[in-house]
Amino acid sequence: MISSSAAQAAAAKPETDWSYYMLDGSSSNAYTLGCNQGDFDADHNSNSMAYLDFGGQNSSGSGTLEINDNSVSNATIEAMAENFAIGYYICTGADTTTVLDMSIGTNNSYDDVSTAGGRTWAAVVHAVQDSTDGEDAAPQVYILGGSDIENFGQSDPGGTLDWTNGFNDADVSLYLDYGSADGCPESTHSNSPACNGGYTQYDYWYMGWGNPSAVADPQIYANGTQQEWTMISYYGYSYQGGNPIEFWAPQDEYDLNSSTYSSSTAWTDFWNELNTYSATADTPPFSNEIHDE
Amino acid sequence: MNRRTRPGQRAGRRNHPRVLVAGLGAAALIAAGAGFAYASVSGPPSSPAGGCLGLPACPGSHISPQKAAKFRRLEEAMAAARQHPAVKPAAYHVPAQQPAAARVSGVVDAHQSPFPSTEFTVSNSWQGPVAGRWIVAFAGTWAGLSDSSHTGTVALFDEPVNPNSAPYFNLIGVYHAPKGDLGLTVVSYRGGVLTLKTTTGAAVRFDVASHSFS
Repeated sequence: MISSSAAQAAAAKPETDWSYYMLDGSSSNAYTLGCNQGDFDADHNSNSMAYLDFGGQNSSGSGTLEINDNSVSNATIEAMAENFAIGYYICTGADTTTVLDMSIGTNNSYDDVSTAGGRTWAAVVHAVQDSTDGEDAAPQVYILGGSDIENFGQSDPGGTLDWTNGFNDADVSLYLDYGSADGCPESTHSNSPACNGGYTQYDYWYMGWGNPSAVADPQIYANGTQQEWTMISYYGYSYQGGNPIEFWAPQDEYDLNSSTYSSSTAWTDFWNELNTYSATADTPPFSNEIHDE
Repeated sequence: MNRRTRPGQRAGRRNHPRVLVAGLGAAALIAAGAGFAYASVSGPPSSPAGGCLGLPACPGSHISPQKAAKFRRLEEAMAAARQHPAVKPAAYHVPAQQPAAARVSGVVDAHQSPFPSTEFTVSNSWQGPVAGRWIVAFAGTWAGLSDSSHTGTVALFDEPVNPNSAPYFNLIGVYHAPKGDLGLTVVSYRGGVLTLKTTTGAAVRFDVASHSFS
């Protein structure tokens, strides 16, 4: 039986941070975007969380195919991420206390969705952490991995689960799951029926939180998505040792598609849904919106 | 539906790089050998606002020891970095890059698109030049239509032909196939026309310039 908590007003939405579909290989552009986030955080005395989505990994492990079908190498990805971090660090200026959680993201739609792919991505993240430029930004930038984990028409989550375990085994950082939970139950949390493509609530819970490296920034784009993720969290509470998901942010795509939830609606509807149940009660620390670079 | 970016929607995030100064920051960088020119200040910076990875607090006590350890290691790394206080450079020179290679036309066997997969499941895509524009055509199945008999869909975007130009990726339109086509996959492109295969194996043609099926 699902227990509800008393109705209450939604918590105030934090400033909405911008994440990006990266469309090229330009470090200068990446620097500018990081700089703008640093400017904003310094002006508002706020921390932020942003991911840079570089698309799916290719089969050789040498790079990715961005969402606009533009190929970039791992070295280029690393340079772009480093420059985003440096841009943030420098443009916070005299402010030395705000911090950015910067996620370097891929997705599970292309090749190398495997244990090896997860390790490869962890190596990309580690390279940014270890690079001279990345270290220079280290006082104010946490460097994380990330993936837009979705069903993508797949019939089996096995490769994606392997990817998350490969990333975790490398033990370099956390990764941000900024994906969707397509077709998952909206009102039950017993791991059945299955979501689209044979994925289950367990799979999404594990890949978004149960994996020791996972933190979650789910896509809250339209009615139904906030219920899907709340039920996944409730599943974690009920069947995984009292482990609901502590979400980092609801993510919206209003800038790219104005027929979907705005950041305010995504925040309010997600918060209200999460806090309908004492088992899943949560106030995410961030709000996030995807943009094109 | 409008997927065009809206630059400047929110001042402070885009379009006003503050200290991107080609060459001017080089002296500071050179002085440090590699990386920034750090100089001593009176003390270490204060801790991040809030507790843990910029969060108001670290996740609750019920998280796994392994996850807690990962949070802790990231926190320790930042704390260590803050033991070396620095004066930030006033300017920074982004290292020069090799120009991106010219785009390559052809069919791409990837399943991603700017649309969430709840909305559009992509079978594959084609990209190439059409009438002076670089077109990316995603083919697949559109969800949520009231008439589910024509969910086969092509979504067209364009971007700069020169990959070294300022990036954009603009939606041209979403085009649903005639009834009976439940899903589409790009087979080939020739003379401005995409040949696609439906889920039943039938061939459908899509004129990229006129955005019409035949």
